[in-house]
Amino acid sequence: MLNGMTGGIIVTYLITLLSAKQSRRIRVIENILHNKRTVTTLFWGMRYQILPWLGSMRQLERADFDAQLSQLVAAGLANISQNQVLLSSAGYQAQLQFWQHHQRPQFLKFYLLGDIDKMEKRVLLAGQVLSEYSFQNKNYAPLSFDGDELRAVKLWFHQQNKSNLVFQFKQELTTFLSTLGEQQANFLVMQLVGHKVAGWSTEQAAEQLELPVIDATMVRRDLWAGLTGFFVDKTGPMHDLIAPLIQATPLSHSTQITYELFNRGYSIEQICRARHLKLSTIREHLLEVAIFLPRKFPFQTFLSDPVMQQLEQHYQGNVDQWQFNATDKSDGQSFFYFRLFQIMRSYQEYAQ
Amino acid sequence: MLSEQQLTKFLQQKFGYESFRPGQLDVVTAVMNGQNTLAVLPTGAGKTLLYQLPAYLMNGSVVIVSPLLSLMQDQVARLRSNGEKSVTMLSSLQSVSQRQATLAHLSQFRFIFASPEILAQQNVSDALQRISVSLFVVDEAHCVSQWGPNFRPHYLMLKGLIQHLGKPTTLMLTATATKRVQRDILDKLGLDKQSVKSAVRSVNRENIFMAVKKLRTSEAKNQELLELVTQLTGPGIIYFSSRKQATQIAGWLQEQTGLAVAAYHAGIDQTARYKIQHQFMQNKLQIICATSAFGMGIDKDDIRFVIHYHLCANLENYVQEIGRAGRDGNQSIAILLYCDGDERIPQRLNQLTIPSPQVVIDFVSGRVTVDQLGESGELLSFYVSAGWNAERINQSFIERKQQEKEQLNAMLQYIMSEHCRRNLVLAYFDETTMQHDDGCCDGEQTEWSAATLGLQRENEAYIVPPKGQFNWLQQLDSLFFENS
Ligand SMILES: [Zn+2]
Repeated sequence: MLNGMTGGIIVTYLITLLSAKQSRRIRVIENILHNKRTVTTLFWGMRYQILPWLGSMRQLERADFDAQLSQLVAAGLANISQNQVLLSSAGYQAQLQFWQHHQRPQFLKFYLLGDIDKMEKRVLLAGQVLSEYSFQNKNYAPLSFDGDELRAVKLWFHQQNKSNLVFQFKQELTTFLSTLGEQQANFLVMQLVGHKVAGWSTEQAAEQLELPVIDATMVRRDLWAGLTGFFVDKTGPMHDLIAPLIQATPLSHSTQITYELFNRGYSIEQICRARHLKLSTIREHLLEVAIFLPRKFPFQTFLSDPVMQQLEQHYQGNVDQWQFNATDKSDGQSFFYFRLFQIMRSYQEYAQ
Repeated sequence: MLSEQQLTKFLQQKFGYESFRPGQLDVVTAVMNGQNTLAVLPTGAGKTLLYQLPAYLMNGSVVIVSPLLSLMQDQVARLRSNGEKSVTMLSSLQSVSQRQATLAHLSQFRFIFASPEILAQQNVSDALQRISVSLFVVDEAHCVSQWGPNFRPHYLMLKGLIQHLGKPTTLMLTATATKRVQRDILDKLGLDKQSVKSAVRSVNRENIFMAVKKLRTSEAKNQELLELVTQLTGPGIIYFSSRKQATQIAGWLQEQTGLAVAAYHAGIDQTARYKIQHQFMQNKLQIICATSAFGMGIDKDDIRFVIHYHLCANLENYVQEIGRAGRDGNQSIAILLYCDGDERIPQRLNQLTIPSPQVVIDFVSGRVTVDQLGESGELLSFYVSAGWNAERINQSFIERKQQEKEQLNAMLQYIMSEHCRRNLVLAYFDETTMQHDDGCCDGEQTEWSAATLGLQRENEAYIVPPKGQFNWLQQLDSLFFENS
């Protein structure tokens, strides 16, 4: 097997999402990988500092996920209790060792710029279209059958200046690839499809470049995120191509709307009325904003001085361990304050 | 009505073929005359032309029902690459808004591809009812009659849909079907046997030598496989019934032989499937280790061997899968590897989809839910929604079990026979038998080797490129041609 072997078991990147100091909720990790975005998941994802991995394995099957965990447990690398997982000291060593033998993600900060899988598909399809175009071939089977994808690339193609489009696209790719290591540049280009070039699958490319398959899967995503980040603030054909897929913030669509109204000075109650949504929903939206954009979030607007003092009195020490004391169960306001306070403290903690 | 001459002229102009292949003209003429037609033509006989040509000469849209997403994608891609723009595919890949947009403009499309599951949706069948359907095509029509792991209950709803659409001319296409299956297809689609035109061509493919190797253990089987692929010239396909084994053996063979081998199955992501399929077409891959997901719609006529690592559940599937070899008419070979007990795999797969009588009773009375049963739950809820009671459902399961058993037995007879295998197949499909000779099969104690068949590997092509030679700058140059 090509995977990293430790004590006879296959250790995957999952081990890098676990901690020896912090017990982590199994389902939170799974939901993050799956992109199941409840506020609870996002909150704990933030606490575990694994938010960049949000939606990175949408096809993940629970059986596979659970099997990977059981393997770690069976090998004495992790312990599970009350649906939470904690690395043992052997597990902590295995985690350190893992990083010695496997690639580290380089472009984590770009992971939430949009759906990276879609970026990949779009750039590959555009590359194919341009390659065939450069050979003046019109008869070929497109890489994607998705109607939206075909339309998007077609539209992009029509809006570009054809006279030096191929040259520019190639130039832009070259510029980005030159910032990468040789192996990574090769790996990315091997995936491209075009005129009489079928391209390499991830497994085939990994084998050619002697990269373990589990690394290849990670590196693939990492490099496409890297490409996205590289072109996000440039101008030119590549930027135009991916721009429609770029999300200004990682917020969900509905949260985005709430956030815009909030920025325009609407109160929570006004937003509820304007959007015909429940108070609890709007509060969840605001919590999502606080989680993803803590730097911009006006915590003081909600946590007035007396509220803040009260919270400071009640909740100290490790944020993970705080137990919410329900004083009003009626409308969830104090839980909202509690959660905001947790997020604020976490932000201050990480900012240090 | 157009004459044969006019049709041939159109064929030349529109499709660039000199003349019709055997069987094609008959079917095209019948379809253009509005006659329901059942075409049983071997793979490679040019089945898609049978609806593509009439589509351009008739008013309205052609609806093509297809069992596999990959098959539909392939046909859509090919139509598009021939410059056809008015083609769409109703599939699970579409988002709700995409689907709605397509349905709103349905009459604009000359070709509408859809799975039976999608067609069962009310908004889809209503949208189809509003447009003019010139031809209703059921591709891989044996699925209508099929049971076991491949059974798709929604095929049984096509009968109602054909009525709903005002009985458009219906064309059923399949590569293999016994007389019984042919009757069953017409029956299930509610078509009158008397008025249906049937165009049946022999399943016999004389250029494919048929052989079976019986092995004692799976190690011996792997060893035999290794020897075969070392001796035989490619390209070739090896079929497996498990994805996992397809992947494992692909890796092992590549390691052992240095040949370019890849796995292909539904568990591989779409982009990778595209790449592997095209590598194979471009002769960059020598061998594909596949599950039955690979092959339908593969347009490669120089496949020299098809090896089955596992037996098929029936001869229909087997004949169809080996039919992917030698479409160019040159010598090819089909080899089936068998270990005692291999038949337990299709048996188990069949059992999985058939719930026990008690489960059926519990389901009908609501004590068990769809979710608890998985795949067979969908099947049961389909029957219940059609108004069947537990007794009737169980009776149909008993009949199906019996039928599967008979089909598997025929497959085993093929494997165990010491006589002519080709004649056994011909007899199974109610065809006239023929004279066995040395180029026919390994029955009747016929000795054979890759050399005697002229299938010995000679070239050293298809070898995995040596590591460390890839250069991304060079690759960009070969991808993007600059004429300056
Ligand atoms: Zn024979």
